[in-house]
Amino acid sequence: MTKFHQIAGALRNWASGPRLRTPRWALHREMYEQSTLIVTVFYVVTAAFLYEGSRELSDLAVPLESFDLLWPVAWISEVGVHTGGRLIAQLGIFAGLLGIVAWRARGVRVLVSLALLLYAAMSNSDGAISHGYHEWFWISVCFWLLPTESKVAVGATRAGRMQFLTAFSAAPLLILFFYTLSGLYKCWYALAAILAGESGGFSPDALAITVAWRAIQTGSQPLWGSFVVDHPLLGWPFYSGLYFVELVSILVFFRPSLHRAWGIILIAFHLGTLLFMDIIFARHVLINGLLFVMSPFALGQHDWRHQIVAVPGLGRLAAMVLGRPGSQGLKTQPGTAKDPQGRIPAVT
Amino acid sequence: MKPHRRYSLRNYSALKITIAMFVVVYGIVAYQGGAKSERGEYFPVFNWSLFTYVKSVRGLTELHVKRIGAHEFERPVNFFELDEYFPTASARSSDLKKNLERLVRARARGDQAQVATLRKLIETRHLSGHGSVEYALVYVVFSPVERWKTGRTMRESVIAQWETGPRT
Repeated sequence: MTKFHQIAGALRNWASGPRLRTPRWALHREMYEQSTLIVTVFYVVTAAFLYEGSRELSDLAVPLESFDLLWPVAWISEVGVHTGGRLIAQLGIFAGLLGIVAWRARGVRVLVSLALLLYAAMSNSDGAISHGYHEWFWISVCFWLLPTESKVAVGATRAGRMQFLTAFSAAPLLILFFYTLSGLYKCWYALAAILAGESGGFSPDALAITVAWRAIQTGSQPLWGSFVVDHPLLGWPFYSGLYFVELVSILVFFRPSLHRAWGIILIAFHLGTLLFMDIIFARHVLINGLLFVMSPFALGQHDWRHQIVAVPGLGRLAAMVLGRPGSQGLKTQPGTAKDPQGRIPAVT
Repeated sequence: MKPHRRYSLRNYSALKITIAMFVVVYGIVAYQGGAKSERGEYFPVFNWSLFTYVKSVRGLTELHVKRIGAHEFERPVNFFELDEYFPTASARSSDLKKNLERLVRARARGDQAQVATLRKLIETRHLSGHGSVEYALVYVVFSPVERWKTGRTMRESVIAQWETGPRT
């Protein structure tokens, strides 16, 4: 074993935290089935997005000077807004439909990504870049790595299933990485504020400041904005909790027992952005639902004690209180795990 | 069915390394884009720095309207209060704020072409439909919570004043 493999192994063990002793390999068939379902749903929803957006694009009547075209749609300055919008709309409809029926072909997946990129670029060519479609686009790029053979051919061997699941895992890994990036920036500047003796992200009134700042920037009136501005201390635990959830998200990728819980927490966070800041993250709710609440890697990992012990940073403390799951309550005996159909019953 | 020969543990390891490299490269490009790009990112590689800065006193470039067509206001009015004239005033989006910031940065570095592009964009998207509009870019310093509660600001300074199209 090389030094690189030793370091990679040690890092993986650290990131993974406490593990179940369940022989997870026996669940790979179910994980594979679940992940193919998620990919199919992803392409169906993508088609719906492209279909919905195509009407807006095919009807563009604004002059070219009201755009500051991003590089993927810079060519529109040559053909005109009307023609360019119609071309992107038609490509979107065509690619969306192809994605539903033939996503196993890599060329189709690339075409869907291209359609998403053009749509996102056009939507963001009004000078300001919003990020509603970024994650969706990058998930479609991650799916380029999926094997191209039929479901039966890929699922016939363990190596094929592993290949599919590993390629699929790029999507949740990247999304959790995005949350960690966001958390890193927030924590970095919050720490800098503490060192400078100023108000910052860790201040008790941080949520109230953020809510008021956003409302003044956009002229909006969030549903629960007044409440949190009038009672800033009530927002403190939620805001600090959000920093923690975002910061450690990347570790959650390696702890599948937490996928469902993290998916729900992140969805709750995005619902909170509407209530407190009047910002809608509809696609992010879908993404967290598909990749984490429905995570194929979380199959068979329902034990709440193991989930608590797996929470990054808090696990050791929880383990002292609850004992170490896996060595007691969660242990499965070798040779008894498989049922007659060759499946492992969910750990309960 | 015959096992598919294409899949092997070697491919599987290569795939894992590819994914890890992809994430690392994304992180580097996203960081660079956040630090160096005029738009804050090398589209579509975003660094996800959202609501990173929390400060009790902040400055914001705002669009204040002095006159719409023949109607002159007694005092300049914040664009967001003019939704009866301009539909985007009630859009509750940060697009205008981002474009105003880009416009101010372009002006500060003397990029006249970019200033012209962004002025046209803002005037066409946000200030059209009612003839000539006289407006100002105003830098306002305030405490967000204080302004939310009382409307008070600490300091206001006019950065630029412009007029859209010919006066009718």
